[in-house]
Amino acid sequence: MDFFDGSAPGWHALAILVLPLLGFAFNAFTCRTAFTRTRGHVVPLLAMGVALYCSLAIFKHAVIDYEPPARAAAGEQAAPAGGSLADPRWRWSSRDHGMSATVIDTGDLRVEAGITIDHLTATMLVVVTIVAFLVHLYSVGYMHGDLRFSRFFAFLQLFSFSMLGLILTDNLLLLFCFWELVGVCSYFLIGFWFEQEEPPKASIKAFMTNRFGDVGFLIGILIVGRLFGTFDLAELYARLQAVAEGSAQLPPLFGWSAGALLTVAGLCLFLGPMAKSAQVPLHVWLPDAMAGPTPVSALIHAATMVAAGVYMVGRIYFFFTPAVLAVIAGIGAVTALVAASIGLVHHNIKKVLAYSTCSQLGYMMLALGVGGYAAGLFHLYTHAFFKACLFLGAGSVIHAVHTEDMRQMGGLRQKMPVTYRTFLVATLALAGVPFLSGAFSKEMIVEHAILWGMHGNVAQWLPALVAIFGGGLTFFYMLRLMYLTFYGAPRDPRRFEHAHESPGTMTTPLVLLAVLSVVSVDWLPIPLFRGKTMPELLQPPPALASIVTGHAPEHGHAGLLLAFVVLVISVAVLLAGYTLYTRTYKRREPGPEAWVARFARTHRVLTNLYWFDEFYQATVVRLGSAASRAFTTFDVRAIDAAVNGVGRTGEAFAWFWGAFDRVVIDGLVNVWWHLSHAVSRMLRRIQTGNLQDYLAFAVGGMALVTLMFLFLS
Amino acid sequence: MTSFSFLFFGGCALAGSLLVALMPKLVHSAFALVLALVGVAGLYWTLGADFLGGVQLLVYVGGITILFIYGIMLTPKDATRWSLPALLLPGVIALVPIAVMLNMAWTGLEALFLPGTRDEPVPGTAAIGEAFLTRDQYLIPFELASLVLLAALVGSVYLARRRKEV
Amino acid sequence: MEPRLAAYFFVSAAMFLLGVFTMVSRRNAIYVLMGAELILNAAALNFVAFARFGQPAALGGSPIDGQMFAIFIVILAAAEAAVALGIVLQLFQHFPSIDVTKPDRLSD
Repeated sequence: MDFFDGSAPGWHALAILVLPLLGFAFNAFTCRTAFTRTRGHVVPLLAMGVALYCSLAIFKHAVIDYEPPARAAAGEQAAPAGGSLADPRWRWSSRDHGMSATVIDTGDLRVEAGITIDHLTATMLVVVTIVAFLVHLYSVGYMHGDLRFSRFFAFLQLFSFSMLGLILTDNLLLLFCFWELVGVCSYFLIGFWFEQEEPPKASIKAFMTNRFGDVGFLIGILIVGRLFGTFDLAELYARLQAVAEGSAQLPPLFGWSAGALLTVAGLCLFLGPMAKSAQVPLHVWLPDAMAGPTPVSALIHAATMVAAGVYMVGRIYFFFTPAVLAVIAGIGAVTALVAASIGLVHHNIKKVLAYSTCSQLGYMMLALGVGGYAAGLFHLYTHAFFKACLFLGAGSVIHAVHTEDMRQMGGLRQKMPVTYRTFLVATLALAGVPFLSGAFSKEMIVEHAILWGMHGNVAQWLPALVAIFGGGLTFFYMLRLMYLTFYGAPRDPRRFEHAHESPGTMTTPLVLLAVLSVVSVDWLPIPLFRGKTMPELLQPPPALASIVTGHAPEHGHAGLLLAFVVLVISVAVLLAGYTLYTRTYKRREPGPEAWVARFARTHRVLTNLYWFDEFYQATVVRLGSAASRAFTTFDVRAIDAAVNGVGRTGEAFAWFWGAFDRVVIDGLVNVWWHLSHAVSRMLRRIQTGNLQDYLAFAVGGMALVTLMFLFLS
Repeated sequence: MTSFSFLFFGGCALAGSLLVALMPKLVHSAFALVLALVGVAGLYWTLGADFLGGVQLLVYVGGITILFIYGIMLTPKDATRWSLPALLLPGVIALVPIAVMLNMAWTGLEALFLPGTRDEPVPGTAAIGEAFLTRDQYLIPFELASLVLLAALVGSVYLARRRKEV
Repeated sequence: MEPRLAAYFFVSAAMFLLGVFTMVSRRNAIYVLMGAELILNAAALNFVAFARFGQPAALGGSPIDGQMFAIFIVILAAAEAAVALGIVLQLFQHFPSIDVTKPDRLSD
């Protein structure tokens, strides 16, 4: 089996999958021993380190050592001449090497799952393992002294396993399983400090909201299964390709056309990422999820889990019809704008970062919707680095001043220099300051959005406008956050007194992530990547679904002119944001209070988070509670009554038989006793001890015998 | 002739038995016993068993009743009351078959002994003596009887000893 | 009228009954012995009567058997009377009373 071939990625992929699971098992089984109370991080760190090495090895094999057969320019997507719509991208599948597991095997349905690796997988693996490893390292310092230290690491490991499995799998059903598993780990980790009031509520809210999206996801998967008869991604591609080429037909469900069916399936499938990646309107769980420990926020709710939705859209990209893509772009745009607007008014440092994440996820969905496949995914990777850095930095600040409220911070720049500097770098990367990684990805997004607008109707300009305007908003609220936290005079002198820089285990990941935020660009380390750019690596698959519906998409060419225009626009927007910031906060003309007063009604809407939570509470939650109460009543009255009835019947039965046993059976036995006693008492009277009585009895007996002889003969 | 002697001696026997049963005083009963025994001896003579009648007189009347008199003398005169419980029931029961038997006796018992009673001469004393000493007849029981008498003799002497007070 | 077997039965039965009566209803031990004598005599009388009147030749035996029985009864009655009186004297020394209702140690 050339699975064992050292150059093939098979062993590495298996190691990546298995090691975190072993780490979880180890920690789970030893979490009560003294060893793990202070050293529970050793095995997980080791596991993640090896996994990181393996993913780098896979990346090297898949990306760096790979020679593409033809260098297509970025953006070219149409069917190549010759008519074949085969997926031109490189892929390694464990099934070709005989390594697959049969998950389901009924007579009608057979699901086999294996590992698949292509460029998307390889790059995602690297990002996820780097961030996960750094978060593990950071947690050693952050969770130091916590009572459930080793259990935290166990959950982190379980999460890592699920996320990596989600990335590696080649089967929609297994992807769904890992999807759910990731949600479960999120539930565990958000509610880690379950003694407090907030975390349990937040974890349930997160889980429920995700569940809601997952229902749609599952329906979509089932529709796909019904349409194509398979859940395997490669198979799906092949069959959709056959339909697009005209050599196969989709079964007509409900009498709808193929395009309509695909659109419906695509929309249902998109519900999953809508919940998992916190798109409006299913974004309500993400801010509350900040109740969990900060490493959790960094790992799950910034870099990896919420990115799983974006990743999944990228995986099934060939499946989405233009209608679905337009919907994705629209929702992404709305999310980007709404979340950024809310981030302007919050005082909780983690909540601002949470809304920032939500907004950036909107950007990614927007990018994927307008056709910027590489742009969206690249933004995912860069965002992972700088957002993780921002969250870990926030965690460092919280660790120092023991509060999350920015109104009690200020002036921490002097006290926590390392944290401050890394935070600054990450902020600039997030905002898209030129030459940092975030700028490259953001500008790619804007380019594609403009192209989409140019080649479509007027409404298709909206995403571009949102992207540009949102950039300014982003810069502004991040500057505000920095000001409130690090600059100016300290607002709470006592907290400021106690503040100190965090230990090495916490600052090292910060520094590393900041460096990555700078260098993870698409063209800088040429010697390392052998001159391949990100768009070349992340080529989108042929748009089969579009062909099926009859609109072959036309995308313009993103040339240097457009790039230059976008650069100019972005810089202008950044300057505008910076100017607003200095005027409001540095020079106070007018200050923030004046702005609040002038836009009081808007401010109220923003502070109340657009009343999404209240809406859900009034509708879904009340319905759910009512249904739950109804079912509980039924259960108690009907089912429990039935069970109790059976129990009482059994009791009565038992009582009856007991009585029967006592009275009748024992009575029968006792009767003999009484009988024999009575008879014996009667017979004993013969033994009088009196000689004459005995003689009398003898004679009487003789007389009786004589009588008998006389009368019976 | 026989009927007269039967009636006479039979009446003696019955009267004597009755008196034994009913006389309040012990010594009177003892003498009534004598009467009864004499009556029985007479009945034996009526039946033609001469030797037996003589033996009866000698042994019973002359020996056993004297023995009873000695016994009466040696024991106190208590326990003169009647013991009534267990008295009535057997008596009543016993009467019944007797009555039936008597009825049968008067009417048909004789038929069992067809053809009529024998009137052969009853064997005399010589025959009895011969029977006692003939090996095929009653020799062995005779000898055994004498052993029994010896045992009784020794036994009664032993039994009648005065025990020492312990 | 010649007295037949039945007549002697009558006498014998009556004596027997009276002997039983005496044995059962009198408390004095001597009375009991007298009753026993009556019973024995009644039995012997019966034997002799049969010897005289009623031996069916078909059953074998000779007329002498009845008398022999009666003689042996006499012998044994004598022996028995002697021993019994010895027992009565013992009874008297033990209890000391010759009331036969007194020794009731075998009662329940």
